[in-house]
Amino acid sequence: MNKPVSSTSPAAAWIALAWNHPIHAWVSVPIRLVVGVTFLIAAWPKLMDPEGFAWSIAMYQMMTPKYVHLLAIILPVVELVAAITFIAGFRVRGAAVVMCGMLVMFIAALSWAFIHELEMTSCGCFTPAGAKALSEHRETVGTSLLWRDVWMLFACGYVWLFDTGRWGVDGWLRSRKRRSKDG
Amino acid sequence: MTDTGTTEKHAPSRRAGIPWRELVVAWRDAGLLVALAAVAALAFNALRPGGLPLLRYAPFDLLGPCPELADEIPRLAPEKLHPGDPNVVVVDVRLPWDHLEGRVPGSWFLPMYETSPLDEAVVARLKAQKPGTWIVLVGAAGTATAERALTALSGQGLRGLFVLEGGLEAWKKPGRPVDTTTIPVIVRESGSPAGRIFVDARDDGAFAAGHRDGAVHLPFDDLLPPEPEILARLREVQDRELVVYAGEPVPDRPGGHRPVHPAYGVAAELVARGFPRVSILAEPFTGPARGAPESDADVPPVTDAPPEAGSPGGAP
Repeated sequence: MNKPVSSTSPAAAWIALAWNHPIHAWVSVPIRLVVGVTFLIAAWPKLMDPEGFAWSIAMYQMMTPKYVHLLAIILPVVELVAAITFIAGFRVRGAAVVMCGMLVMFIAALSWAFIHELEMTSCGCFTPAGAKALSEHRETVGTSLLWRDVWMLFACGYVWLFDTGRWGVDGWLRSRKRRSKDG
Repeated sequence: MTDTGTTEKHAPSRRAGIPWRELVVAWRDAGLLVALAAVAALAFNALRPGGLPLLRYAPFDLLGPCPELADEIPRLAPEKLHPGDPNVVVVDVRLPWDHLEGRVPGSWFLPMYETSPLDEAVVARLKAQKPGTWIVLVGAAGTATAERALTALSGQGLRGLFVLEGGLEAWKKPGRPVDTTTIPVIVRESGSPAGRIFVDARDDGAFAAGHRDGAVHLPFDDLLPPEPEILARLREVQDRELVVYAGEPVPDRPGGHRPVHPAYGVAAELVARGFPRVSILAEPFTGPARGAPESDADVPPVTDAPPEAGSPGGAP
């Protein structure tokens, strides 16, 4: 990689220039901070109350109950680890891919709930807890939650494509390696 | 990569192109990161107090039961039922004679009578199962017995309830195993009756007119379970042989006949409820009254003792 492109077409050269413009490293930092902190905040209550999170997953009725616990155990830790590495800029592109994967999953789940109008599918004899949660879900689904996730998906995609991790652990490791090579 | 020299301005440069390799390597890193996080999550869950079981064996009670809608009854296909799984309890809600003639191996016996509530002792045992246990109710094909049982049990707060799709017939069709129990038939009364206790399955009038010595009256009724008080009395002497008789001859093979023979019906009730030594006397009782009054029987009198549990585990 990183071969000179002087022999390619001008269009390809312009794309290469735009792709590697140093401004991306600066734009990525606030994105990483905002999205990373959002994931940290989201992961914490799930880690503290996995049973409650399992119920939240089950409410979407997208997967068999048998594996809901497994997802409720693993997903918060993946969120936490991805958020920390994302903010720290360690393997930042890999972390961005993980974030994108989770966001695609969240968007699919919210869309599913929205399309299927989950709060309308039964006869109305919800348990009080279920009714409350579904009511809250109804208020948020299709509005802020979905669009927030879509925005974060684009932001993480941007980081995957353009961020080299210059401002983070990746950049620090590279510069250290370069310095040791140079001298 | 791109964080090296950046002085070129607005012109096609010698700089790197699209970093395909980094973009692909990111997916490898993502996989490693998820794998690492998953291992950490499983370890954390195993070590933390109150960690969740990895698999859940009961559905989430998101919605209240909607018994009025048949489509809302959770159903389980027979191929998904694995008797012997410690997380599954199979409950046969059919009547005792059907239970004895064929049941899913290891089934509990919890008959669903037309006009009687469910056996509280068995329901209490079901409630004592660990959370997440699946309770699979087995009825007969073409009947709504299992659905009625599910409604009744969910009304008592039990969760994780399923109806076996197609009932026992669907279970049996591809040649899956069934447990059966045969009740021994004594052709003629002989030998010393000392170790035996007779159980009279006839109706009240016939019993009052006369009965065998020391017989306990347990009239046959296919709509109601036996009187709990009488069952409790018999429990106290259940190590002795209980011989059930009626006023009409018993066919050679009493099971499988409909309507159910009274003696077989009562004997099936006792066997299904876990009485170990029950037999049927084929010889009908038609003679004059020669029995002692019931109170003279060496069976304990009716007490306030609660009825005992059924035969969970289906070990008649």
